[in-house]
Amino acid sequence: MLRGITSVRRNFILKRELFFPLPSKGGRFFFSFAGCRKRISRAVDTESLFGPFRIIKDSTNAAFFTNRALVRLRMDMYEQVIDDCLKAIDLIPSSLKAYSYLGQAQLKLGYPNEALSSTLRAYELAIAQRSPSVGTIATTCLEVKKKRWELSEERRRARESNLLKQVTQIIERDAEREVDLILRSPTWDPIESGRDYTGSEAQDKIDDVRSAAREKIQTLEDVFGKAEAERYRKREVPDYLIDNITFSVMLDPVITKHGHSYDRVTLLDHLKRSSTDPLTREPLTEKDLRPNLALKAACETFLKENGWAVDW
Amino acid sequence: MAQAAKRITREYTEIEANPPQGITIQPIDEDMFKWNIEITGPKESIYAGGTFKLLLTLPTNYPFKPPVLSFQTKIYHPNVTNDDKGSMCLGILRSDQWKPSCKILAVLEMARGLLMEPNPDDAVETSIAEQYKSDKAAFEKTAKAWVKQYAK
Repeated sequence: MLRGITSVRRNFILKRELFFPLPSKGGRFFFSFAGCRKRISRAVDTESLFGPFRIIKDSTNAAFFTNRALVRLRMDMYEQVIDDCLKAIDLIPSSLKAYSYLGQAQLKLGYPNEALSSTLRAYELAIAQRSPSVGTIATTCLEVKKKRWELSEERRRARESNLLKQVTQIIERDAEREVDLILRSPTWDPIESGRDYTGSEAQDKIDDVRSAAREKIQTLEDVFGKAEAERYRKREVPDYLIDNITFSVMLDPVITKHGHSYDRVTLLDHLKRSSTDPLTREPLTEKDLRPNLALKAACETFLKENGWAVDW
Repeated sequence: MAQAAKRITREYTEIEANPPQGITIQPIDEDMFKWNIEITGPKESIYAGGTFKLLLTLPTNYPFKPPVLSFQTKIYHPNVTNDDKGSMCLGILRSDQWKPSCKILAVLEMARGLLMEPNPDDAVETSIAEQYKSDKAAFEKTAKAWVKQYAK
């Protein structure tokens, strides 16, 4: 490990010497920095490795912020990642990396809606800029959707279990109140009522009240249980939401001239290898594709309520 | 790769849920990129009574590239190379004709369909194809003898 760090350090120093005399070509320096980032993240002594780079701190260069954001992302410093990304976006509004890291940090901090809009923005930019990382970003978009659904499911379950608990308590309290009334009632007072009181009649009445309450609670639990089971039973994805190449729910469907829809990323991936329709093998190019907005909305709605479908 | 694995798993589940007639599948590794296949010769065909072992290999960039299907059991057939590879290379399995929307199930059913009815016009073994067309009796005799010898 120690040797690894030393060699990384030596690399850095070498590169710094190489690139330092050329301040105008800062980009190259950043590039070499980016190449080393994996090793940085594995190193134990990240801060001290990161240290040498403070000298190139340049608050007008967006790459400085996105690079630092990446390092901080690996160091789980999510709040600071967000700061860095926002600064980078200020400098370059179309920064794909900034939106991508921003989304990851927001997700880690538990803001799935914000994370989704950042990641979707990164996706749009990746498509527009023809970035090779578009596939990964598309996958992240779907993962964020899944996460968002998981969080909302968690909240729903907590809400429902609280409700169940609360209603159960109300039923129990009502029953106890009734029991109390029975016990206090003059009718059941042997002296007041003047009857030969054995207590058994009162006890019967109390038993009735309690068993009625138990029955109510049982019914309530059954109803809640059934509703939960129902949610798991209906786990099927309609075929029309599925991309015929990856067999996954689509993120950004595009339609071919034959009327078939595919996820944009997979179809572009296919067209890179062969300019043919994946179903008919007729000539097909990117220009022939149109977004299928209605289907896109259908996929979005479905995933919002069925986040599990991302892994289906 | 991850995407390929996902689709392959999905296809496997589909086939398991609804197994096709005369075909059994068994992925070799956990990563599912190689499957052992067993196809029984269709009853009405000259390969009836034989059980053929095949190996299905899925490329890492599946389904953008076609799967490779090879007979492990020797078979006398115009569309299967008569060597130790036993490659079945025709139609939908050719790189230039492969469609990513095509499923493994369709590939396997096509393979079984070829046992039912060989396709001499798209043959890899031209001499067997010639014989199939000109002297069907002799073709069937050899094919049946091979079934007895290798596929029982």
